[in-house]
Amino acid sequence: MKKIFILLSVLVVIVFATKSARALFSSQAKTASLTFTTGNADLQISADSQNWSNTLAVASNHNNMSSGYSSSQDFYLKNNSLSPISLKISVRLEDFSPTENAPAWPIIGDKIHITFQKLIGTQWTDVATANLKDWRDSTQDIDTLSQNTASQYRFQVTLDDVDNTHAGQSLSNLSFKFTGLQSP
Amino acid sequence: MKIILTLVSFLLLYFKVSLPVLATFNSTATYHSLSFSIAEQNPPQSEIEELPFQVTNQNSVPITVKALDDSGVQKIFLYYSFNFGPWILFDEAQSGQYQFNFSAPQGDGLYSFRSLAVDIYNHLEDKEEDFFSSQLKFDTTAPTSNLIIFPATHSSLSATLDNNNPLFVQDIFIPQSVSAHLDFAFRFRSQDIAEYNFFDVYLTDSSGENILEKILTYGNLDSSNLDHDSGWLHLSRNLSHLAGKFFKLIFRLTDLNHDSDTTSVLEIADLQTHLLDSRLPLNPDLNLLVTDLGSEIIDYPTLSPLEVGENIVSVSATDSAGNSELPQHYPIVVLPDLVINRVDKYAFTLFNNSLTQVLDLSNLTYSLNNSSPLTIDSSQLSPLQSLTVFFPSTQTTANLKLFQDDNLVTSFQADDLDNFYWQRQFSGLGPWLKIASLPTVNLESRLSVSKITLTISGLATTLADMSYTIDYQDAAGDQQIFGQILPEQIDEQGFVSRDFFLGTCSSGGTCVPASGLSKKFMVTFSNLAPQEFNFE
Repeated sequence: MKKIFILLSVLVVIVFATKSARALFSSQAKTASLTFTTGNADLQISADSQNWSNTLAVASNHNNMSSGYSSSQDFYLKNNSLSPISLKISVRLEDFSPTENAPAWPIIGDKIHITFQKLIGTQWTDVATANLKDWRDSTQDIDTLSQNTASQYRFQVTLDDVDNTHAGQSLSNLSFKFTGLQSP
Repeated sequence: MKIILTLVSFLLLYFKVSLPVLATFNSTATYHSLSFSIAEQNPPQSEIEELPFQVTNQNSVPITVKALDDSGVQKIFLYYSFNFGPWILFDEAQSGQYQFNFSAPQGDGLYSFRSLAVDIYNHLEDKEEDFFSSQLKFDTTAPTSNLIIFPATHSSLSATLDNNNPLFVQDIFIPQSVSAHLDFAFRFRSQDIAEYNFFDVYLTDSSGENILEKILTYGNLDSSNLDHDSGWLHLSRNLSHLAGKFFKLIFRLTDLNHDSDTTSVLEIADLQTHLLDSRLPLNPDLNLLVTDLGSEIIDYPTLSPLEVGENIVSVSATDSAGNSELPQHYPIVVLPDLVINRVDKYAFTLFNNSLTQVLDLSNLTYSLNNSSPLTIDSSQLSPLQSLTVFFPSTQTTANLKLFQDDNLVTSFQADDLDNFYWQRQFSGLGPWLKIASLPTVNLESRLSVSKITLTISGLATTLADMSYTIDYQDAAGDQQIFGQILPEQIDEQGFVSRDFFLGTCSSGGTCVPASGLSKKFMVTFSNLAPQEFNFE
């Protein structure tokens, strides 16, 4: 019982101390029933803007690439949050087979370039570009989506000039992770 | 516990504050199962199999390409260069034996070949340009052989045609009794295809309106190459069938795309017409001109020595592509320089056939009807000139033999010289003709329209006196018509006809018949006795 009172005291202090603070998302509290309704953030991905999910498998892989290789796939991101919040979207590459991929990273990691483009009107506009290694090591912001809005993006792969010192190298089991962070 | 929660709720309501947020919301979506790999980077290699021949007279030939790659060949491109021009894609093969049926898209000429392979990773073969490792000459045209004796009828002509000057016309006359051929070289540059841009070479009659025959129509047949250059090509055509005619040789450049920026240029050079007189003197300077459009001649015709008399010269050439010319046969009569040209009952005529040589007659004698040698008074005879040698007495037959230093040069036997004389069809040469010595003169009257017609038959073209007179009377007194029969008015049968109007005509073309015409006409021709024609 003593612990309960201590917790209650702390709570009261916090309430007073943050009286003027604003919530970063909206929530509702109904006093009549004294219930709380909280929001959530939900970033979804789709290949066709019809079927939404939190994961999307690539349509085709990029095997046996040669100099001048170029390929792209379009996809959609949607802020499907229940709360009226915007999501700031950042991207980073995750390697789920680091042991197997370890030999190839220093050889071809900087030869493969990934560019994300966004369709604005009828024009594709670059929003972030880096080589594969940089995508693995750092995060880049690509867009901000309002609640219940979706945009079309393009995932574009290009390859620098390569020679037989790069031949036979492969990187697999990689994922691009899009993180939608509540935006003030 | 319930008391505590109630207390918290009370505090929150009392101070009207919201619950503070300690962390922002976030969500993730993943684009997963990505993989990347780099293919082997070795380009493929290809090689055109050695062609079994270097020149062909076929319209198309198979070309096989071998290719190797570490991973696999996707396809092979076959390029060609025409006469060392730019490389042009002919076709591509994607599987199987990589065999191409090459069809010489730019016609006859020298083609160089180059193959480039692409592997399954789109690596393109890296190969030096080489015009010589794989070459094939297409030549589907047989060579042309022509005999040349006389120099060209005119100096070599040249011309350049373009859109502003698209026509070139050359008048040509080929004498009777000669054969002839036409030679010219041309170079055609065009930036359009033959459908819109080409040139014609053809022969017309003297008016230029009626085409006698077409010699050549040429244009760029390769739509993939709009920068066509034919290079210099040479063409010959036999014109023997046009002997004795006047005609026009016309080059006409046609450009149906007048508004386009494309231009075309036709250059013509070495345009010559060679004549070949089938009547040759001894030891003629006879040469052969053998030409081939596509490849070299490997089998030249040879000329056998010509003998006095009739010769048939047959020539045929074969080129390295295996094209053989159909044999051409030239009938040639070779006569001695000095020939008997005309024989009548009073004399015979000698003729110098040589084009350039003055003949020495000092050692020349003749026998008449097996007589002992008789001398000839003149000592020399100029080229293409005649000399009349009178018999010691009038003859009815003449077995003539000419001797040079007691060697028989030529002979001729003429008979019935009372009524006929003999002469060659052409001056100095040609077959002998037996011609009535007394031409027949006739006069036909159409006095109702004030016209008369004079006809003379049995005429030779070489009568010394070819004049005629027609005497008659009208109301004004004695009248006479006088004129000459010209050689070109006599037809091949020795016949000539002339119409005369009896009256006066003004310069405006109005004719007034003579009045008071007599019915009697006196006609005198050459040295024949006058003949009277009475139309009473």
